[in-house]
Amino acid sequence: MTGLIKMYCYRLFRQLGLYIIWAIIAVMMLVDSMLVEEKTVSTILTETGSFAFLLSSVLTAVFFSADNSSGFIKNYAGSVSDKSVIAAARAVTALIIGILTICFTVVCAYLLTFNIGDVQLAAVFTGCLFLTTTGTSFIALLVSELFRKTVPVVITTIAISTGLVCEIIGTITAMITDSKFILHEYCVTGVFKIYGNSLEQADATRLVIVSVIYIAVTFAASVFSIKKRDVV
Amino acid sequence: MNGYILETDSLTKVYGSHRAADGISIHVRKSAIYGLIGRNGAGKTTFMKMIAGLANPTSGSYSINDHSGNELKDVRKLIGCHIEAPGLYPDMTAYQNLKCKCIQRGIKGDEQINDLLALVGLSGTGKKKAGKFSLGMKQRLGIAMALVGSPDLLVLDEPINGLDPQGIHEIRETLLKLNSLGITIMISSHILDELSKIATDYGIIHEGRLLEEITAEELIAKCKDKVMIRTNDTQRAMELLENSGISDCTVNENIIEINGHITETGRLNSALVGAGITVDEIYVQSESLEEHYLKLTGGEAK
Repeated sequence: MTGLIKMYCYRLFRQLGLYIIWAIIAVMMLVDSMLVEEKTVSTILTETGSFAFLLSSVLTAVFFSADNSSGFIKNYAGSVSDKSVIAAARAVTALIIGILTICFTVVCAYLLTFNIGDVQLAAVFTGCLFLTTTGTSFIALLVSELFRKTVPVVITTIAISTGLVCEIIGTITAMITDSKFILHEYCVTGVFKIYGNSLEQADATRLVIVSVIYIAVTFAASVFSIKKRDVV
Repeated sequence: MNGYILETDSLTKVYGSHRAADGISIHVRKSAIYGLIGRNGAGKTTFMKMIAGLANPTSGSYSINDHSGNELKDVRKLIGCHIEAPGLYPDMTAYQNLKCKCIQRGIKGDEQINDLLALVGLSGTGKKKAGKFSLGMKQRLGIAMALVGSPDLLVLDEPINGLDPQGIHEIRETLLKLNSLGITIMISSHILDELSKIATDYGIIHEGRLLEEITAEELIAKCKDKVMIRTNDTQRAMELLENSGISDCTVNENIIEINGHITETGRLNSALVGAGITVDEIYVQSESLEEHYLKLTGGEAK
């Protein structure tokens, strides 16, 4: 598995896409920092964090669907002892993409403000951002395994990461039921969006639970899919 | 040890109601070049995908170097495969594509990469991205990818598809060179004439089933040149030929077929004419791999 992770990392750092998404995040944060008067790390993360997980998950989706669409997967899928190793190596690589993007985002936020503000709040936001990014990246992993073609994978990932799918399902649910069920609270992309700056402990707990469930379910589904389906 | 690097037992793959591979049992000798023959959709690629571990068999089993079942995971790295189009990252160079596979296999250093690039004639591609390669270059890089880790068995699906005569020649020379190093090669191709130049064994697949497994020697014996004679009196001609010591002859639709003796057509003609038998036609007929294949599969072209 370490060989696969090293191979993915070798390719990752030769991907122009990685540097493009970092540049976009940096520009977004720069613009945001110029518009906000009282700037702290946590306020900037609140404003631009959603871009970090959106772009991170899109990169993850493009990165792994290229493995399938180019057919490169044929070069190694047959030589691994168990195909679930591929899903695990991809998950670790998606984590690496997420961690690097979040580290970049936090460092940029600090360099633009030189003001951490409430350290605890900044730490909670960073942790929440990490979990949400991991959740959406794992969804992107599953989508790239299910669809295998770059265009549908990217469109589906964007629709999920921006909360569009959540909005559509929420609207349909509201139309057909009278319940006060709020779908956002149960969507990995929605939880971060609705709490915003007023993130409280209960909200953070809910976010952790929802994210962990998404991560576990999507990873299990990816393993199942990659083991049961033929590679090409 | 039975001398086979690959053995399959009733390997079957079913897609919905379609049996893409139907109980295929083949035997690939070590250091052989095994030619897999069959038309489009015959099941060659599906079969190769199962061998390469890219597709799960519906039923049946196979062994590599006498390892089967759960033991297969220990010998998977002995197989290098190039199935259908070469699997390459188009935005990376030939070196980088090979480097990726070397890293995955835990191969350190650049020595093997440089050797493989030289072997397939891609040393001079430099920073050119694989996406900009010609089809022939991609095919050669695909073969180099399959060779990473020095596999014992190389599975190549239509590696000369779309190549020009020069490219086909280069691939043939490369495969012969690899085989001389002890690498067993399983290769499928539509170009039977080209296959007959290198293969030592053949497996003929038709509609998902293995029709025949034969060595090149057995095929040559089956396909050897024959003297064909049409006369006005087949029975007398047969008696005359048997009396003159030619026993390996048969009659098929009033044409006498004599195995071998192709340099003796003049003597046979004189003997028959001298005995008062009119010889309407006498000629030498050779059966090629293609004719043998067509005869075996019924020769119909759907």
